[in-house]
Amino acid sequence: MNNEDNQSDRRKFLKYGFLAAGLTVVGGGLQKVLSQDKDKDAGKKVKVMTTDGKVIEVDDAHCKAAQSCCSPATPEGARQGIPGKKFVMVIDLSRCGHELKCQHSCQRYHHLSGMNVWLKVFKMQEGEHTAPYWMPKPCMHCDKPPCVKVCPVSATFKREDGIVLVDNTRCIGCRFCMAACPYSTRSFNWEEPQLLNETTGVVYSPETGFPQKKGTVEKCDFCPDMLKQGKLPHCVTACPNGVFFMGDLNEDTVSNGAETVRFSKLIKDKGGYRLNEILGTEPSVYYLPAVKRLFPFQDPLPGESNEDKEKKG
Amino acid sequence: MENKERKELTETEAIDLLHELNEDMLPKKFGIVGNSWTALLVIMLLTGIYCYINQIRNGLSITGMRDFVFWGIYISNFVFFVAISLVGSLITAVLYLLKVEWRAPLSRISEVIAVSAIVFAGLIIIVDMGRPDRMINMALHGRIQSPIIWDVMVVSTYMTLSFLLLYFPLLPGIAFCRDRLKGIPKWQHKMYQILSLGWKYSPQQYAVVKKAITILSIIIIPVALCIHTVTSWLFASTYRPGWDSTNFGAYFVSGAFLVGSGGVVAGMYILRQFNPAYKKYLTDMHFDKMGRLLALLALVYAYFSINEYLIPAYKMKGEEAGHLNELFTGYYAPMFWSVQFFGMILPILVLMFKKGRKPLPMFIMAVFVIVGAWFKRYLIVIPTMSFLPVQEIPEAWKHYSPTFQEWAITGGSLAGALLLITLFVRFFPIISVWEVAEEKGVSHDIIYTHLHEGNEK
Amino acid sequence: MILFTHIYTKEMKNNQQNSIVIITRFKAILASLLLGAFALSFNVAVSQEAKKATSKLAFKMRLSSILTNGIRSVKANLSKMEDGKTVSVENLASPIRLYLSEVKKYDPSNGTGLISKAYINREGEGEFEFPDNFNKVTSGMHEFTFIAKLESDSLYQDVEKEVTVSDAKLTIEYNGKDSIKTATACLVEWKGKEYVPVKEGELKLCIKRAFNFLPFGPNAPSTDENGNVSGELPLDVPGNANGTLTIAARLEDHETFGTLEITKDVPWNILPKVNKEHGRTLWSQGDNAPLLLVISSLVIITVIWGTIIYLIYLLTRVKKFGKMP
Repeated sequence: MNNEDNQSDRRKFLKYGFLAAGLTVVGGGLQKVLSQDKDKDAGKKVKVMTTDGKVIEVDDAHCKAAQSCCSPATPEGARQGIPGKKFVMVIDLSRCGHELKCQHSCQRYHHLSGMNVWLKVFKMQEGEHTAPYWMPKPCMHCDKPPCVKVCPVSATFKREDGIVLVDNTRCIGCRFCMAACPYSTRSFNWEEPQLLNETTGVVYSPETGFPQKKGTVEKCDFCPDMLKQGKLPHCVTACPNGVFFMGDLNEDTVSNGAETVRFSKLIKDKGGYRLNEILGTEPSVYYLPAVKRLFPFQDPLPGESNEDKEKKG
Repeated sequence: MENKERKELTETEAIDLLHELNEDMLPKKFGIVGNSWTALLVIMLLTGIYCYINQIRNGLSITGMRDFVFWGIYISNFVFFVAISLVGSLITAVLYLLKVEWRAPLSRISEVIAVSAIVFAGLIIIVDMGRPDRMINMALHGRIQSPIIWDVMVVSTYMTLSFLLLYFPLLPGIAFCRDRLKGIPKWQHKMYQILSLGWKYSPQQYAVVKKAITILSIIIIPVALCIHTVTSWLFASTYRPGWDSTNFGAYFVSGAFLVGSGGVVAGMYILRQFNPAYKKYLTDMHFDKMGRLLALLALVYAYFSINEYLIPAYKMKGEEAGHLNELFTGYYAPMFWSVQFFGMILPILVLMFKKGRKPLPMFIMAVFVIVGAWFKRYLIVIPTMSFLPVQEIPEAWKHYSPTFQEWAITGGSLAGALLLITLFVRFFPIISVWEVAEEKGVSHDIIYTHLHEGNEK
Repeated sequence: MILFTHIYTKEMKNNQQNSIVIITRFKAILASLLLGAFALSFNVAVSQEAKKATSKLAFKMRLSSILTNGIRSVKANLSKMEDGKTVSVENLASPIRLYLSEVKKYDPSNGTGLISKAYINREGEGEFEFPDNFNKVTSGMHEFTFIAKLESDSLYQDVEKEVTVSDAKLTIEYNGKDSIKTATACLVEWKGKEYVPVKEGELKLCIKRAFNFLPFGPNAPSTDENGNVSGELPLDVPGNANGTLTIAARLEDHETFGTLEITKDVPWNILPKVNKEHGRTLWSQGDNAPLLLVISSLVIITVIWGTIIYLIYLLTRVKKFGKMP
């Protein structure tokens, strides 16, 4: 065997290894085939001891099988959306302490590499004498999305459940959507993305957004793969302060994990608003003003989050 | 006016004039200047192609564009090409329909510029795409709601119409080359044979050509307006300050007519230098007329520019203010004011005077107009993205500067367009003999019966 | 309002580099594991890389028992420390095995007591699913000790964690006859021979929603001497699309009982809002474009391209006239 063959074999081998390793529930099936556990447990009866001291045998439990409803959809299937739902997000600016946990979690779970950041946290100060505050900014998932309007090939689309996604198997890379988006939420893969190994061999779905592709646009997707499973998006669960609320407008409830509240009441009580209402884009993201703040506003050094500062101090 | 009155030509005079015209217009082999010019263009084009292959391999990361300034000189160059190509419809169609007679020797020059520019407009926009391999998606999944689809449709339509508008009046010229050019390579003769469509100077054929030109002249005008208006909508349909303007369509179209006319003037001058015989047809009178036209177009453009900049500047809405300050006094100010002065104000001032409308000053003004127009497009496309407040990003990302490879590709496309024009001049008559003959008062009968007589002579 | 702002932080980048490093390390380790498993020969570089990873990583496991509508399950949450931060374990390849035993009677060596195994997902969570006959088999049991074990993983240290829960039951009743609609939940536990009410249990009344439970009733619920908690349902809350509302009672992370949950669908006449039909809009897909736009563009295209086709026909006429004598 010459060196080159050896290399490619190794690569192939590693690829399958990672496929197995990168398992979530989905990978489970393949894992079974590849892992050595198979021989040990398969088809075996296991013994359980009951209260009265009898040992009885039950069927071997299997790892939870992937349910078809919950695996990320194909590019065609992803256009449908979850029937009857209308997802909204509420971001409570009064709780944001710029710890960037949301951003890290988003990057990690979407396997984002390079400079593409889907969820940005800005320091906002609109006038000289207005108060500064931190503003996390995901995609607004507008109900009248300007980006979708201008897409020449329906690569970005609006789903029935309110989510705007990008299909990077169809995108032609004209970047018109980036020009059209008044919130600048979109990023472009200028070069071949440095795919993290976990994504090797993973089948692309617009619902997860990875593996990324060179020459295509990507953006925050509201984690529809999680929503499908009844789970909250990664930024919501990662935030230690409960800044992000996610929910279904049709059932008038949003949740940040710890608290679950009526959407209409939350907006009414705290004076919720949307960004740039004047543009008529009808965002699905609502903001609660930065009043009665959880943290005093602290401007970190450039390129440093408040969290880092605390660690140093 | 007196000088416009047609001289009565006797039949012999007319026939002689026709023959002289034919001799003058036959394309000739290039000398050392022509050949080195062609070689230069080929080298530039090949460099551009090489860099483009590199871009396909490595992605658009080889350019200076990033998420903040995501459209660069490819797009501004595209707008430039579209703009300059509009001249075909102006000189050939508008002036034809207005029966402006002095346009006859200029029409083919303008049409060649139009065709080559629009061809490279189509190519450079593909260069800008992240995934040119998926172009077919536009056909498979095209959305009629997208201005890009409108642009694809009007560009391809305008390209077809421009080509036809070049081709129909050229038929007698091709036939004449076929019949008269001796000692040319076989393939060249074969090319003339195929392209001439069996032209035999018959009155019926002339009738068909005339009919086609009339139809084309009418239909190309709305399409030409569409093509540049739709191109302006690529910007105006967004919310970005500096692009979000209802004035954009008219502003773009008026700018396009200006740069296109500049292109024709430059072409006229270069042709005269290149072959002194053309001086007989591209006379000082033509320069004078074009000078007046150019001054008028520059004034119209100035009008729309004032609308475009002064009214937002009067209000200074928050975001507009950022953009305008950057143009008026900020980073882009030197370029902005040079472009306004050299590309618009100076030509107006110079062309007001009769002396300014002599060939050489005209040529200089035309070059100013063209170069100014290129950078004007740069100023329309780029600053609107790069003035925006951005937080904590690499310094290099804040201002866009095109990379060498990007310049090379853009330069390659410009060279490519010039190469098409050059090759056309090398192989085809650049001035339409029969149209000039008509202008000079040679009657149709004589043209139909004697145009081909060069053969027997 | 500043619209177009972007942010990148240095920290962001560092974090990515870290994760890449970790993944690279993981790659090496996994490669060596698979090497051994398949007994294949690979080039030296890999095994050298693999040697670097000698010590295994430590992590914490949290086990929780959940009883939902009488069906028991166990969840594991895995976390580890990374640069002083707690992060979830996302790259565990081996399954975690779950054993059931009262007072350590389980025996991993021969599989006694093994009832389930689960793989950890990317959020560091694993859910053990029980065999179908679990309830039947354990019907006599009133205290459950679950032991979760991770053994001989190539990357992580062995861990064993146990959780013990006692038997308790939840019921929920709904009274929707009056204009005020109420729900009452009851919590009982097994004491000696029978189920007896639990006092002062933090039993929450709530409505099941897409992601979570929307609480209603008392702010700080506590069961009375009969083990009951009552609450008034909000009358304007939208229900499910099929004309029901899913009400629930939850006892969360109780130290003796674990998490208990019961749900019940009750008739409800407020339907959830229905998504607006947008029809043909500018932001629809291509096949759903506004009719006016489609028709007008078709007309324009037909006129212009019809003319172009006619012009091409004229070219053929030129050719035809050329052939005529």
